Amino acid sequence: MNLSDENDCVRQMLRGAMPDDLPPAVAERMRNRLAAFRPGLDTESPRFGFRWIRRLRQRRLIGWPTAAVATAVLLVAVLWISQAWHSAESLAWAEVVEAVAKRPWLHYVETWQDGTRLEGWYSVRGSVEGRHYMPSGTDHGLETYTWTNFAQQTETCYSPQVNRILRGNQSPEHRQSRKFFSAAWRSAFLSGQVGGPIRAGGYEIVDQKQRMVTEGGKPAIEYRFRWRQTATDTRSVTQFLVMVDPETRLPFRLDLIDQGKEPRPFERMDYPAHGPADLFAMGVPKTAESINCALPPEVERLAKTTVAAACRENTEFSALVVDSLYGHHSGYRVWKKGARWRIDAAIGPLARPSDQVPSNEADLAGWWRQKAEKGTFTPQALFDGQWQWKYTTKTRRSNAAEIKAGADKKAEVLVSSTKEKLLPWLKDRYWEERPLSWMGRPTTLSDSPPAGLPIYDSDYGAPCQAALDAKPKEGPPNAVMLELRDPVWKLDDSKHRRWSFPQTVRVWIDPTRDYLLVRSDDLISREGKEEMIGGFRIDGFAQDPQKRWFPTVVHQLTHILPPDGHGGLDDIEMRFYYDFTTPVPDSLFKAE
Amino acid sequence: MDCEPSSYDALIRPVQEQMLRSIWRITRVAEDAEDALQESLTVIWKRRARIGRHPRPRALMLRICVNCACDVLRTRLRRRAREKTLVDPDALHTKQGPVGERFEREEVREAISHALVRLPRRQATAVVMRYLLELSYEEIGHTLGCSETTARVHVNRAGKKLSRLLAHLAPTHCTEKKP
Repeated sequence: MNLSDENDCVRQMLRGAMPDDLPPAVAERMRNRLAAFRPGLDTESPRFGFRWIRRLRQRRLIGWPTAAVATAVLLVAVLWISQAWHSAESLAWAEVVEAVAKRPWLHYVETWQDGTRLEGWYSVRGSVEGRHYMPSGTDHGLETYTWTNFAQQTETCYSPQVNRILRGNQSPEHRQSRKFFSAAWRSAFLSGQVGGPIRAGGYEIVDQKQRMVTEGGKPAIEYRFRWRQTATDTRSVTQFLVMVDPETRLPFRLDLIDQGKEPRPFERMDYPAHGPADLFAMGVPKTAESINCALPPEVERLAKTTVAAACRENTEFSALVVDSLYGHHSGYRVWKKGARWRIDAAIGPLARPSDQVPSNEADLAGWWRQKAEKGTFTPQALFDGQWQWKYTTKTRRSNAAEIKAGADKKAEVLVSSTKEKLLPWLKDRYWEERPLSWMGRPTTLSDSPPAGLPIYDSDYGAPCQAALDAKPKEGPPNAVMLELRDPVWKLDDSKHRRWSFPQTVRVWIDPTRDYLLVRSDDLISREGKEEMIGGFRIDGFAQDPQKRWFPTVVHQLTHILPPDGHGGLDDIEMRFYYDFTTPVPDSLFKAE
Repeated sequence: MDCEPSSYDALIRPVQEQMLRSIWRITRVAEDAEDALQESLTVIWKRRARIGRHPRPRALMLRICVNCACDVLRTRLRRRAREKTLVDPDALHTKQGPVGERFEREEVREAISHALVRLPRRQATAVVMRYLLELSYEEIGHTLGCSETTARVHVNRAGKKLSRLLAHLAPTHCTEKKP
């Protein structure tokens, strides 16, 4: 497959297979159906106006319950935080912060527009939080109870629907909000250090105002906060109001302000003397099934080490990579220098099924390099040290005039190439937070990795039990085996996940080869037997002059066709031909 | 809550043709297209107020159509997989054109459909909205509730997965149409 225009190729295939050719007869049938559709009086199920939570949820970074919690903690944190360091107002807010910290518990109840409720208890001293999420309808998720211990970084979640408790590490999102809380909290008491906006955990307060108002005949201080996320490219600003009792200095209500609308009450707060001791004290039955998904410390260490090793920010090399599948060979070139990298893909195949590929391993590198010399390459992706750039190329087959002039009739010609800024550098955002999911990712989000490491997909939302086998019975020598298992995976339950996410992933990591992932098996269970649905093997290695290991032959096993009615797995072979000695010029890493 | 025909028509009518075509492009079977349309209309009706408030109501309605069509397609493919028939030969003979070509086309279509439903839902939606419906990334981002950049990532990843899944089709089906 030609990598240079693969998206274009997919676009063409999709358009070709799914043309815009609605037959008149079908159109008429559909129009009749449309005309006949007259809905009843059922009410719509509204959603919250809090867009950033939806975004997080839809990016699968966060579920509704967690989103709700993150909001609660965040907003409460923001409350406590304070921002106005230089003005007289900041003193008033510092008093609010102090007043809240002195209370044993903060109890809050959020009511969302659709009737969903979230009730929570937060203890600053105990560094714990319990939450009960009560959705208004099935559209918004399922009822959950969650208990977070911030000090121990653990989280326990109970789902009444399945009567199951999942115990695991504190979610990254929650840790993020805690980071924000911590930083803000610290800042609040170290006013001498602060100047300018608070930045922590990917959020910043843009500004804050306060004024005296009257609430039900009583005076209250109204704080108006504007804050935004800095971690993403989303620059939308969220506003909320915090109403504070001037006597006790305690916040009692939080109102959200949707764009262009009046504030609406969102959260009410009170400060009881006692709160729940654990999840069971919140009403969770002790008979519930309990599954422990906490990462063993050795797994967490291994995951972080593997991710750190995969970064390889001090390497310099160029490489020619050849992809082969059923006699079709495509290729791309890679340059890497420090954190920067560039990938140029060949236009058209490097070799056709009719070409006689040398069977002698020793001749292969030279043969492919010769082929590459004759080929035309065009930039596909580039990381300039700050931004990642993606190139979109358009190609066409030789036209009649070109063929007449001697061009190969199957040759592809570059028509145009355009570039776009794709992503900011996401390393900090993802790698540190989800080492298991991202383990094995190279220094780029591209699937054509300069480091040559394949990746594996996992369902971020699914629970995962991890176990490390330091001396596995099978697999490459010297490698340790990490097994990641979804304890609640069911074949019947899988539906479209069936093809995307395995039940079990076994990854072999070789500590003697810079923690390269040298093999992966993606497995599902069918009728009591394990069935492999994907994976990869690294079958060849090379070392650079600094003795760092690189893969040279990778076999990626996947189902090109659906497994049903199809034979075994298809094998995509990737061969890497490196040059570690020729200096890579800096000019290559400029997006042009 | 109003449910007068006028408000309903005002919502649906401007995008009606696009809805029909979007659904047809994915389902390719009249009965399935009808089912997907019915489901889409139901969802649109239930969420009409939200759609009205949405910055890109047209794109959001198309997203609903794409989702419903993909669901119907997924159901059909599962059913067909159980029945172990990839292509109905009788249906091929009744259509015009050489049977061989039609068979190949149907086979390609089946492979693409299979690949499409194997994608994560958001990626599938994003790639269909971009490649088939030609919506802008901004519109896709709005309908998916994510940023434009994330929409690009979804499309990019979907494109890569599809190209990997459909690699065996690429040599014969990946040719740029002449301008």
